[in-house]
Amino acid sequence: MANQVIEKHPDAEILFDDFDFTDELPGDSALDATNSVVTAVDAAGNSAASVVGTVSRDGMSLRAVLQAGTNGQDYLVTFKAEGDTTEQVAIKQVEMRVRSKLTGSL
Amino acid sequence: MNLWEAKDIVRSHFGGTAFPTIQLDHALTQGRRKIETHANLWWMQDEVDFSLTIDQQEYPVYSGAINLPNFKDLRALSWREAAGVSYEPVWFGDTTKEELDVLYDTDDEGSPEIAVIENSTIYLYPPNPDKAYSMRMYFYQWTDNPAQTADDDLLKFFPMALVYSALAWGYELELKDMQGAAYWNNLLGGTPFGRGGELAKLKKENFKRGWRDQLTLTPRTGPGVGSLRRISNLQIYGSRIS
Repeated sequence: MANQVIEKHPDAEILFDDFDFTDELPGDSALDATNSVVTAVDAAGNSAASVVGTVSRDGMSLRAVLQAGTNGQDYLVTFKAEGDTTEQVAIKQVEMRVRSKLTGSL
Repeated sequence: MNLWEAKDIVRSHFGGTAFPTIQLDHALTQGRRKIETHANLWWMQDEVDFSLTIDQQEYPVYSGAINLPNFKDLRALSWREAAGVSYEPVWFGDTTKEELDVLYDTDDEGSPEIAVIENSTIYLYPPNPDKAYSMRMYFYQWTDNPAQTADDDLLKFFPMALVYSALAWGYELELKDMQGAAYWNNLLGGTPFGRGGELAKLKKENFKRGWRDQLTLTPRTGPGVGSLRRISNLQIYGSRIS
């Protein structure tokens, strides 16, 4: 199960900033700028780079703008964070369900 | 109904986020399998062409020249000369391998006359094809759910069959709620299972579709009474089918 599940309207463009890696990477105080990345796949496992917009870092937080997507599609967005000092890697995932009619029941 | 809509209906019964998506996918996959176990349904039909190898009797279904990993059942088989344009039928289904092994010599040659499936291998008789004949095999196969934002005949015409089936799986394996699972199973297949619910509707539609193309005459009097009037039916000259 993904760490989080969100529903998003296809037209919505949101800054997802819920993932802080302080607990997972205690030996670090910042994330590596090159190797900390955000990727996405659709329900069939195909790459869906277009739903990930600008990626940014703030201390131990890894953020991404989540955008667009096809109505009815479920995307698994993977936040891969690498510690700037230890080079250890932690991963968190958010499942993004794109719906033009939001259920509002999550 | 697209797959995602069926998915969301199933999800809603588990609280939206309580049913891990990977488990939900398993539920829908197994739900479809449960439906397709009950009948050879029209969307499961397909055909494949392959060539025989001279003097080779056995053809595995899941690999080699046929290579159908989702094969379920054989519908028909025919052959033609490699450069020919007309197909000839190969009979199957009436005789067992042990009978055919007795009827044909191990060095018999010729074009395929009769076939039998043993486990997952097709055996052709006579056992030694004298040429590399071109074969056409009509079959039923297990199908996969369509893509997330697509549908197929099951989802288009009988979507609740898949929903009920997936819910029954989820209630049994995720919630361990056997009473709840029985409720969904009853909506899916009635009681006794398979005689009612969505499965009965599906099978009725399946019968109607097949009936138009597969009319079989059954003699009401004479030595072949009650038996299927097919040239391949050896019992037509003897006892009646009970």
